[in-house]
Amino acid sequence: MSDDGVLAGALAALARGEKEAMAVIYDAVGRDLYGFALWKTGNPDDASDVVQEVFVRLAQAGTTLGGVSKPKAYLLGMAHRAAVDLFRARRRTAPLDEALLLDGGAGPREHLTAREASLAVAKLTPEQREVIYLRHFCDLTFSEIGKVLGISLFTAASRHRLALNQLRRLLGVSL
Amino acid sequence: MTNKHPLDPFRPPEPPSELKARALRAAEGAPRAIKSVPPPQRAFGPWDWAWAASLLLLILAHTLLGAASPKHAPSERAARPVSMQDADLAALGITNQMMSAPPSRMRRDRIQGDPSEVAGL
Repeated sequence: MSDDGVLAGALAALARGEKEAMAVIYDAVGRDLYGFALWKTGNPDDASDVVQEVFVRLAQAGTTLGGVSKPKAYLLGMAHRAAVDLFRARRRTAPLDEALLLDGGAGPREHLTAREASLAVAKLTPEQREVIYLRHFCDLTFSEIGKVLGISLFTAASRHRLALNQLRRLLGVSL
Repeated sequence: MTNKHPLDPFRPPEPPSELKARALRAAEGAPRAIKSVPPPQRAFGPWDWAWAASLLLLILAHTLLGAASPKHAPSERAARPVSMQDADLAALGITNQMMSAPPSRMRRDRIQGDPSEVAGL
């Protein structure tokens, strides 16, 4: 079953009051939520707080979870709003001094290390960063990204194109 | 030229191992919202009966006393017959109704009435 299928079933179970579904949701999307929150906040502690807040809000949402059509986008949207609320409450900007990327299974690409890639990602604007993350690591469509961030499909696509060009320039990768 | 994504070989960091337990624990303690809670029903108490009775009395009083008030009395002007002093006017065909009704209404009455009068207007 796809991630969205598993998540839809788990959200429906949660709506019926089955609290065990929380663990299923975490296993399916916890990593994406944490990575997204880390890219938004730039701080592992804040990112953990955001993920925790998402689960608290899930528990509070109750029966409204039954009709969610795009569960992954829905949960990432919750993380987006939780991160925004956290920034509002703490009144500070993200320093982004943490490693935002790790080496993948295939090893570092050419001469590029994960540290250098992280620094390049940190130089993107927050809006560009979140679009790149949602598109590349969460496999969301531009329509879903628009829903997560509360922007139009066209804005999401345009931001992604600009971010990708910027990233290629920063990393010295040819287009 | 490459179409590969510049971030292809990389992946985002893993969440801390204790985060799952922490998130689930926090969710466990959160109060669960119940959708569409019906508003609490209040019993129809003595004060409600008193309000209903006073409202009923007010309506009743208005109905009974309203007709007797000067405001609702038939207009003296409309009921006034053609007096002896108006005999000359009556001879000229000027009725009491002409004196009390607005000209627009009189014109409409004439149009609907005698066509010869209309022609004379």
